[in-house]
Amino acid sequence: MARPARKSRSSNGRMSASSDFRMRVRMYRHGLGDCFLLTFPRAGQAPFQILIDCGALHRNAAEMTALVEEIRDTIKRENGSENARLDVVVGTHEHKDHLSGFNQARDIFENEFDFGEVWLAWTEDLSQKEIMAIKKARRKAAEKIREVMRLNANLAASLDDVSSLMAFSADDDDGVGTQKVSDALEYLKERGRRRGSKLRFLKPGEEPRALKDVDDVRVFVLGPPLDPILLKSSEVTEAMKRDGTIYHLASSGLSGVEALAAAARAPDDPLALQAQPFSSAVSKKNFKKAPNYEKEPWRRIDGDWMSAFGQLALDLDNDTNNSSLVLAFEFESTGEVLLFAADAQVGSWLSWRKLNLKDGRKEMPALELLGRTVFYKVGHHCSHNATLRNNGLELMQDDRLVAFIPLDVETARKQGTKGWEMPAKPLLKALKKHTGDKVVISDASAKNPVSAEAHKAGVVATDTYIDYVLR
Amino acid sequence: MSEKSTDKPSPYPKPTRRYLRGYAFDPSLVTQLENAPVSVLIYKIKWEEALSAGPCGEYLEVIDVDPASNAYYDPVNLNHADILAQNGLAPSEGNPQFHQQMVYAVAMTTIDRFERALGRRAFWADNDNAVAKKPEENGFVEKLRIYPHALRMANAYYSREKMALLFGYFPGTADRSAGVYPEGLVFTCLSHDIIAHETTHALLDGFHPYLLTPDSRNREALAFHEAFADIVALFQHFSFPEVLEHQIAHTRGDLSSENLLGQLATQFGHARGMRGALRDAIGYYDQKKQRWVKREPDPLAVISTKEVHALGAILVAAVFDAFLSIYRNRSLDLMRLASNGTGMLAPGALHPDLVRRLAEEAARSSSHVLNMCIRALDYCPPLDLRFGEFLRALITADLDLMPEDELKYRVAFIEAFRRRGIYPSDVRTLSEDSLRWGTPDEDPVMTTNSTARKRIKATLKKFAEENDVRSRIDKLRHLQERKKVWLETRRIEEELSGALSDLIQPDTQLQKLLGLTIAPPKDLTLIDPTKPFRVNGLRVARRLRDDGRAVNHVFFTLLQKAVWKMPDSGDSREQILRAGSMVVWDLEASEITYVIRKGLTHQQQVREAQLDEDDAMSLADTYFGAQKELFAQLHHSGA
Repeated sequence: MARPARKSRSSNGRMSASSDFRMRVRMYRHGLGDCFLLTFPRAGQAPFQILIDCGALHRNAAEMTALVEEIRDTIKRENGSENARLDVVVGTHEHKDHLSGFNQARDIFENEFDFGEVWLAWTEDLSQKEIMAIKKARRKAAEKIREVMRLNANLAASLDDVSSLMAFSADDDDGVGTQKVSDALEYLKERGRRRGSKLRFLKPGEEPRALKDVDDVRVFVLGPPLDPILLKSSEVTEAMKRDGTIYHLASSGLSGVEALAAAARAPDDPLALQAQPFSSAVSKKNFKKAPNYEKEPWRRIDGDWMSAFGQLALDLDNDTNNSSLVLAFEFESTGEVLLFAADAQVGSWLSWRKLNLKDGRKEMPALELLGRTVFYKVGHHCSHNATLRNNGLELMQDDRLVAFIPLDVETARKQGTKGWEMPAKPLLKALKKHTGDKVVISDASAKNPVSAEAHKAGVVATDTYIDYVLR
Repeated sequence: MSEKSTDKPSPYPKPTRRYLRGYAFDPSLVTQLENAPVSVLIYKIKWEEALSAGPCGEYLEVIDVDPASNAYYDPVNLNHADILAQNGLAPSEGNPQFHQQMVYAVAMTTIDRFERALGRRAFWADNDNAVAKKPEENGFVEKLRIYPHALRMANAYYSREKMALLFGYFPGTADRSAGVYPEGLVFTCLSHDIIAHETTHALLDGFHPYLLTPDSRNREALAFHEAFADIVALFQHFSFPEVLEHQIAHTRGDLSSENLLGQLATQFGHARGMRGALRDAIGYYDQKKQRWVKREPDPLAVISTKEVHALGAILVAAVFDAFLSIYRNRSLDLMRLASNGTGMLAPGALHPDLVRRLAEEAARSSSHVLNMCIRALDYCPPLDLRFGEFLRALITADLDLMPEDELKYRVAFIEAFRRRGIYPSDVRTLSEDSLRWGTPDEDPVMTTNSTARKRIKATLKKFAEENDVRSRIDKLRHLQERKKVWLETRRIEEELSGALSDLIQPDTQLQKLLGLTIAPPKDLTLIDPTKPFRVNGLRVARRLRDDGRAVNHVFFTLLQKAVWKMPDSGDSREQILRAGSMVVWDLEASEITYVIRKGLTHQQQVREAQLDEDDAMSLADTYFGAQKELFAQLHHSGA
């Protein structure tokens, strides 16, 4: 398939081993979501192409199709092949802003792309009973929240914040695909199982993966954590470790979710009645008629109970984020590391402290990789609890460090009632300080251009993507 | 319905106490053979003459609406003869009227505990909800609202916005191995600990409203709020003699082993599948070993712990440790008597007389410890509180009241705090006298010139006389109705603000002493330069010292508020900056005893350091922005 070429870049744009770089990371500028193309030139054959995620919030099928076509054309040009071959496709976790493209541009992926391997986190391996149970509980809770918003327009109005949060796991943004995010994941699995492909569920601590015919590069898996407590936490507390409080959902129980959701039903609905705390003999209908309740209107609590939905939605969001597949690409001879943290939250970061990676016959502490990191794909669109400071960012001491943030600030700002705090200012400040101002946001614009420092470090921006090139 | 006893004068002596049955801890103990005998007790609370259905009294107003069920439950009338005749309704999970009685009884017990320790009336925080403010009341909130069935979730919280306590109910875990009835309903309003905890939040907020204000709070202050609420709930356990004796017998007098008294919210914890209480001051349930394990103090934890509840737990453990030492000290002689002088008890059950005597010592120790903690509040800085400063406040308050400390209570506290690495930041040594707040004479900001010092003293004395401080405060003491006390206090504060402002404007030495900034640096602008500060939180304490003399103190805070133009280039935001000093004024000597300062420039440094610290934020902040209901969020993960 790949033909040898002598020149660094042939006239048809094909790339060869004598390319002037060792690796290129391409961050697409398609909105609030992740889509990265990693390219490794190979001697005497087409470059090794890896796609990490392909998704966005609030983007329609046409927009996502354009993105995938762009990727297709790039690979075809560089590989000089009929179909666009992705040697590895990585789906980091089950959120729309990482996977929606696999639904919205399904036809192109299906007909014009060859998949080599598909890499997913071990937490997606539904042949394991525990994982299945967690996924089921999570889906049920998400369904319940949606049911509430559907059943009761009054409630839905006051649950604005919740509904934008639920967008991460919502159906696609337009009618073209009625698919759900879970379908995108299923599609990736199915592709991985086809003849000629390979589906892998990756676990931290396993042997590093090699990329076929790419010398010098090893891929380490850092997350999702195997420790169920860390897997679930955005904030890990001493008490949680002690008590084994794993799952907010499990602690209030699915029954708690059901009781909550029952409140959205009509008062005489059997499910609603079942969730009432007292027998109807002692209950009086219509809470607003309670004596003295309306006396001081500012002290009424009509809607306070609905904050439970917000918490539930947060828990769901966080749980899924922590199931992110975290990958570190290492150049063995130089020690340089490129870290792709997906949306891993604090719990995942904390787990790296105790994680030992297999390094030939030796073991290597996972945090050692952070010290050699020259490229960091910032977690969770630069929200504050997706990058740990101590034992995280503080360890990234390489002067060459560059940070890429896939984020569309405008979209983030429109979410919820107050807008989402992305990028989190203190974190952005810390990142800038740490990288010497080499922070690149995918929606960089004239107002917010790619800094001169980043340029010097090998960052090149076009309208559709921003490249980081490791020479 | 309600029997108005005021209609005609009653020929009988008035009752002083109202007897109400309730759960000692929560309903879970009722079905445990071992603990059933002490699972229910009688709360003896202050008799409120004008108690109407709700219950609705002078301090509290229970309103039982359940919006998630679109229902409400009829308010209980505790003055009904049928209820009076049987010490209140019988404890029952299925009777909402009993729930109302339970929250009322425990909340009143908690309020009473505060009032007894402080020797004055308790007040709730002012209502700063501008829409609802009535001008003539100026934000006075007479009654705290209690909603026993406000939420359908495993949470309960104090709402500053609504001046109310909101309690939730939820089905427990479905996990059959958790040892509780699967999916059984749990009512947080039936847990003594949760009610006492939330009531304490409200009381503490009434006491120190600026601990929680977004622009002046810090992590330790939030943790302190949590810890203090737990401390009050814990030590209230010791005021129930039946429970105490039962647990003393059970632990053979060793209260540092696993026991109910040191645990909080047992049912809540179990129902969430935790295999133990929500919080435990002494130990924890080890999931791996599958048994209860005693917790060893870790002096580094207070530095490394970021999460608010975990941080608060360290303070709770320290105070509980101090209590255990005091109790052990007080009961040494009893133990020796009971063991022929060896101190080693013979195996088997303790003699009931010994149990009763030990229980007495435990009750007395716990009462002292709780008193010390509550009184320390008077000596805390009004904002930006740190654990180490609480220790200083505690030592100072106790030194003022008990100069002798024969039983070495203060030493017990210092040692317990030291074992957990809780230190104040600016003392020379960890001795009692260096921990005590400095008097003006010891104050490094004061001039060393002795004539200048005398002049300042004389100025202040003259000021107090001219403004008639003493007699105005005395008058305050004689007011009965809480609202009148509140209004009169505000009036005194107002006048004092003006007079004090005139006094210190020309006097930089006084400004330094009181920690006030009249001419702020360039990046700060006082909100209202004509009123550079205001007097707030004035309260009086007349307490009997152990040598029989009266301590006659007035406490008030001087608050300043400024706009700070932040230096950061990318972020040209402005931030509100609050500062304040706590002044302790000796009415007898007409002089300042202590000034505890948190000045504007100090606060500026504190906020600056905090800006780079984002670990405290939660995921909710990312998506929902800063939360209005602070405690709703705080309590979600820890109640």
